[in-house]
Amino acid sequence: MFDSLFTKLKNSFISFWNTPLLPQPLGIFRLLIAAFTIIQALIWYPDWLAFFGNDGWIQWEISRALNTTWNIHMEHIYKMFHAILGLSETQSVLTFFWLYIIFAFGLLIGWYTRVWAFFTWFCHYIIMSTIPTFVYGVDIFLHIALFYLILMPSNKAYSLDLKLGRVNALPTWGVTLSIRVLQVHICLVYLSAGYEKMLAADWWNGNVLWRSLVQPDFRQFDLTWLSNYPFIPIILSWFTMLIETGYCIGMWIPRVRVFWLLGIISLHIGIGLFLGLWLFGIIMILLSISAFGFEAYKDIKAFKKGSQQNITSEIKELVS
Amino acid sequence: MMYIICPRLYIVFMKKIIYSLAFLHLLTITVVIFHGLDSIVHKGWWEKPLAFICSINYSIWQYGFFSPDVGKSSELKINVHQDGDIVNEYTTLKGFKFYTSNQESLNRFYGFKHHTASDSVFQDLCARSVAARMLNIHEDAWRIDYTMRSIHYPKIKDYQPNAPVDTVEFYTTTFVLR
Repeated sequence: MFDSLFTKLKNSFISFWNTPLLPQPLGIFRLLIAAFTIIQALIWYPDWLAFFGNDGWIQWEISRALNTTWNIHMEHIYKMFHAILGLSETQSVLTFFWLYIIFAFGLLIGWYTRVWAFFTWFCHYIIMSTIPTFVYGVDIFLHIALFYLILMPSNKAYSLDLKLGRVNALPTWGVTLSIRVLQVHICLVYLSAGYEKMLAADWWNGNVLWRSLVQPDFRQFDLTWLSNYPFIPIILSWFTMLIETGYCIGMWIPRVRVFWLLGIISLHIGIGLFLGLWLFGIIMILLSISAFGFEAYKDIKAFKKGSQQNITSEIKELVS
Repeated sequence: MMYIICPRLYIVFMKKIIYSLAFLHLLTITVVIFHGLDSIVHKGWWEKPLAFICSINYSIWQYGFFSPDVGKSSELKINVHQDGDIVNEYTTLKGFKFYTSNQESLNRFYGFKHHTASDSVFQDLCARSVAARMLNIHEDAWRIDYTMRSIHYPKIKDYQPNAPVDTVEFYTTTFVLR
């Protein structure tokens, strides 16, 4: 009995990691992340020099001192541009910006995809190294996604590489491994975020959510009236903990997955709307859609097909 | 070379290596986020290699670390003294937005304030840097006061409308040009 159970588990495990899957989710992942990279950079552009210029909020000599010695800093980019092209500090920082956009565009269209993915990731690495004090969740998740795009065969769908015949769209073990790594990584992220919230008493009594909503850093609307209805922050806190901790279970159950995905999307829309962290909310939604959206879409299609078949058979029964 | 001799064997061999690396990557993430390396990660020769790996793909990163800190806040106040006894006061409690163009740029200062609140050396460096920025913006400024206060918001059951918010000053410095 144990032998058969073990064999069954082993086969399920191998099938989970090895059965070739369609590459469409990876193509969607690339399109979403590349588009997000461009949009985030364009939103950042008006303040680009204030963050990255030598006369910005944190001057180069200080941000360099805060870094480890091997990290590549914007100052190194300036020195390179200055030596080769004779550009000034400001010109170098702005040239870097437009190169970043061009690389991300190359990644978006999927032309020599991995090369552009590498350059986009590398630019993002320099961005992170230059402003370590201003980095937050959105940058970390974008960096992870760009790193994955270097390695994953994301050009096997919706790309110029596919159109030009450089790659084929056949399902492979590489696609499966890529999708599974992304899915498991996102599950671990939410599990960790959810269970660490559960360890804090203030998450259970709603105080963390209450403070986040009323403090000046994040406050978007005057929500102090919530103090008259303390059950609202409590319910919302519990919902957050449930959705995050249960993500690693809910996302693997067909049909439940659709509702869990909607739950996580609504959670991040709430973060954007009430805390003003729009880009953070959007990248988390994009990661969930990339990892589980295609399977959720197949669930919906299967559900529709199933209910249609039921209706057809009922009509047939009535007619006969 | 191996690919030329036996392509099939090469593919099987590469597949095993790639799967092993992927599992190692996921194992690292799992161990780190569940605090399996907390006691050793900053003590030893491996500290730098781990930091390097983290800067590449953030696999050595704890996503839940921030959970207990959500809701904590601090105030940054900058007084710029200019010629003619003019004092411009900038405080984040009164809506000072660091001259940013949009909400997304402003969001980055939450992390900045959080970083500066937790490191005394960093506080000095950042204060100096911010003061230099203010001097560039206000060309006739001659003195900058830089103060940070932690904000203690009441719990939901203790909240009183219009009651002043408790603040505790934890860092202050002054830069004078004359």
